[in-house]
Amino acid sequence: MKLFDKVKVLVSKPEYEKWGIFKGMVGTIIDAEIQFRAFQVIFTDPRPFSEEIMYDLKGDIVDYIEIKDLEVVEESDCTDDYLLINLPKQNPKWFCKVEDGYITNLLGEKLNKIPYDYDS
Amino acid sequence: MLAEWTSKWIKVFDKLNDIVIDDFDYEHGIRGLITTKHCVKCIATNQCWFVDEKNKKPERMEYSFEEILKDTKNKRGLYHYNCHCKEINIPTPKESEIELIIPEGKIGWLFKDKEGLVKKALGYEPNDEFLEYFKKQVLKSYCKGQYYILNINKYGVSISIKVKVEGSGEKTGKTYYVRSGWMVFSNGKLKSNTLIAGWWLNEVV
Repeated sequence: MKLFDKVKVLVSKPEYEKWGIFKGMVGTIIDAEIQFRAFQVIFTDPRPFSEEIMYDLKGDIVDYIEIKDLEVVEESDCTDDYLLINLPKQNPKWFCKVEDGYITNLLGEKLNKIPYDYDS
Repeated sequence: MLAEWTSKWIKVFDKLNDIVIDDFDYEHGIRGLITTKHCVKCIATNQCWFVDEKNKKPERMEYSFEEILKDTKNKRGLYHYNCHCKEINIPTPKESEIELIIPEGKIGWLFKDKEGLVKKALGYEPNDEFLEYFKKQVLKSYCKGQYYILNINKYGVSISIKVKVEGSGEKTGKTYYVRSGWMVFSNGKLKSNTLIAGWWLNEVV
């Protein structure tokens, strides 16, 4: 799980529902860095843009969704080099990927102790 | 001094807290625990600039009449009891004083996901020239205070800016207003959430 992956929201929570985000919605990870074990995800109107419906298209919703509440549905081809230039101050210590159940940074360090338990 | 008196802008300032939302743990990456020592709202807003109007700045704690009469050793602060934060008047920011932080990925997203809107609706080619124009429009709107606060939480203060875009090409002569999402960082910095989030209330002038 990383920048530009398409992700599905696995749960409904009041803090997500408040912004119109519900279980099953699919969005795209839009920020490289993980903050507080969450990714910033953008949810856009799934209809392709056309001038006929352009004023009917729903505006984007951007919110932070906890990693434990997300599932990858389509992986992006984002490389580590591209992740690095998108991290704050290009600091490789920022956690920015989820691999094999671990939240990791570009130095290979792990944030959670127990795989798939993202609060550990 | 006169500029501060006539300005509608304030800066939230906590003299006992050096931590600001945009740099407090960049050296090691945000791990979460650092914020437990301080109120989230106080960190999220520390040294950030806001227009001194409702919905454009963090709301003060409203103390009830009973609380005001209550005999307590706790001081009634800006956001909570014993809060050290103060609102300080500052001059209206100039566009040159605002730093826009836009990660590469957000620009790529604008050119890819919003290609249709930029091209067909606004009449621009989605390229660096449009990006520079759009950034100037964001700065103009923000300095005029044309924004409102969406949310304040541990990730920071998110705002929606009303950005005026003059149509180009076939759309010359038309004026559009779009929503642009940003996080307010300290001392005049704004970090992009999404450059164009959609229309501003479908408003076309």
